[in-house]
Amino acid sequence: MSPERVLQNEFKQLSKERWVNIALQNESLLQWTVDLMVLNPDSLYYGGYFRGNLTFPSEYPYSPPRFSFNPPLFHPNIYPDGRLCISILHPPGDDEMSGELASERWTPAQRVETVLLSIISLLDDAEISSPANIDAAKMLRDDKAEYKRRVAQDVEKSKENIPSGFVVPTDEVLRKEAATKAAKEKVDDDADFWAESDEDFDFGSDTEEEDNEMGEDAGVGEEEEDERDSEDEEKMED
Amino acid sequence: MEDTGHNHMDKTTSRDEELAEQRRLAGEYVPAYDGLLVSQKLSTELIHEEYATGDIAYQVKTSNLSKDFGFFRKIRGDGNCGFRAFYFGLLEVLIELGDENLLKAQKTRFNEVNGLLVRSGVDSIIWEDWVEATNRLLNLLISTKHKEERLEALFTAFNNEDDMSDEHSRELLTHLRFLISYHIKENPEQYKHFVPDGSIDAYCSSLETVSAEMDEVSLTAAHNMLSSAAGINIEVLYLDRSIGNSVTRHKWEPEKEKVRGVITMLFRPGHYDLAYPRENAPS
Repeated sequence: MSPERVLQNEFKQLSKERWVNIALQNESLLQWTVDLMVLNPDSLYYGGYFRGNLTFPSEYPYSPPRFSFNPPLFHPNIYPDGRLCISILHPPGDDEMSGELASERWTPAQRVETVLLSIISLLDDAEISSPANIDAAKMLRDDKAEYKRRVAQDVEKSKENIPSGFVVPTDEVLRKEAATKAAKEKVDDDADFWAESDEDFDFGSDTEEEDNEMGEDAGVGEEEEDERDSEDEEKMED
Repeated sequence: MEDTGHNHMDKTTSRDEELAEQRRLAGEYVPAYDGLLVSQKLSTELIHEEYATGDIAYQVKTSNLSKDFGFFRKIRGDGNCGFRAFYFGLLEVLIELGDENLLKAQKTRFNEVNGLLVRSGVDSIIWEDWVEATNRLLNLLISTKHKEERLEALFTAFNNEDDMSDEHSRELLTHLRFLISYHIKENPEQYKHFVPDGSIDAYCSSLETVSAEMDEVSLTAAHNMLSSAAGINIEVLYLDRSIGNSVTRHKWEPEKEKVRGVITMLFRPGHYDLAYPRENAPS
């Protein structure tokens, strides 16, 4: 069996996610360009748009993919060439990270999504005891302020990768979307409530407007979701 | 697991030295496969010869081993050896029994336990290839009419690790591995006292990484799921430096059914092979 069928499915599902943009390199399902967005406002990396290469071996999913940031980030667990030191990407039998929890290791049932989310959480959860970048680990330990300044530099620089016309969803936008969606669901779920309660009706129509305003930039609402789906399929065929 | 009751330490040797020695012997042995994942049947004299210059305990035991067990199959030691030996051994015993209905019953049994994968909540895109690999192999064995041809088909399937081919042994072994893991997760009461720190989650997470080796817990789970109901015994021959002149033998009995056949696995610290008794050997 070749890994293409599983990867095609993974690609399609990930194309729907707001926190990541993916594209195939050289029309190969085994090589992806992955743009990771940090949407958590509490993160040092909030607002960043970090580009990386994700490469799948021909024996995927029996061996893990490889990931490297391009350009590299200044981080205790990222090698100066951009590769990551993260247990979920370690090939089976590689005990370099012994001491890590077994649950964080690669298995054939892991998803690309899990890997990418692990990479995003690694950014703020740096492990300095066995660093890939010793300078970064020292700085994080001894000079937190300077470290934050370096991270802010990386975040600013990463924004150069944002494709023209693309808007990285902000925390504010995502919160409004979530509220709109929740309100809509509440209204849809209970037609009587909709008809009888003026208050709720008003709430619904207010957010409906916001919904449309944002729609142009961020792409919200179920219809737009469907359009995104068909775009993804076109992308796959390219 | 090898030192649970089978491995009485030589009092003059420290435990560290003991382990280092066993590792050395296991390490010397493992790479010596002939390029196959499962070899043809070979004379057990070869095992005795391997230890000709080695430890005296091994010399005596391997000499006695070949008296009762004439042949063995070398199984590639890539972390999958125990799973490979069990799965190959199970189907081989069923084929040797010469009854097509036993193969059909085994296919049904696999499809029953596949419910574990469905219930796990893991996306079917992940596991449907594994299920298909097992079904394809069993269908092939069932539709092949002669015992020798069936054994040949089994041998071919288990030795095929070509990523682009249909009969892909890695998928078969991953299927078995995840069935075992999900079976243990669904029956924690049955297994929790036998896994390290009583942690089923940690044990199964490790099992699912494709390099975690088979141990007595996973072998017991495999037996409970797949061989016990088929009336197949598992016997493990422990070849180590424990006291005695013969390998230590331990059996996993079928629960209800009468015994139809036996899978004999030869265990050396860190590695499983398959072994075959001589016809007149004591069972």
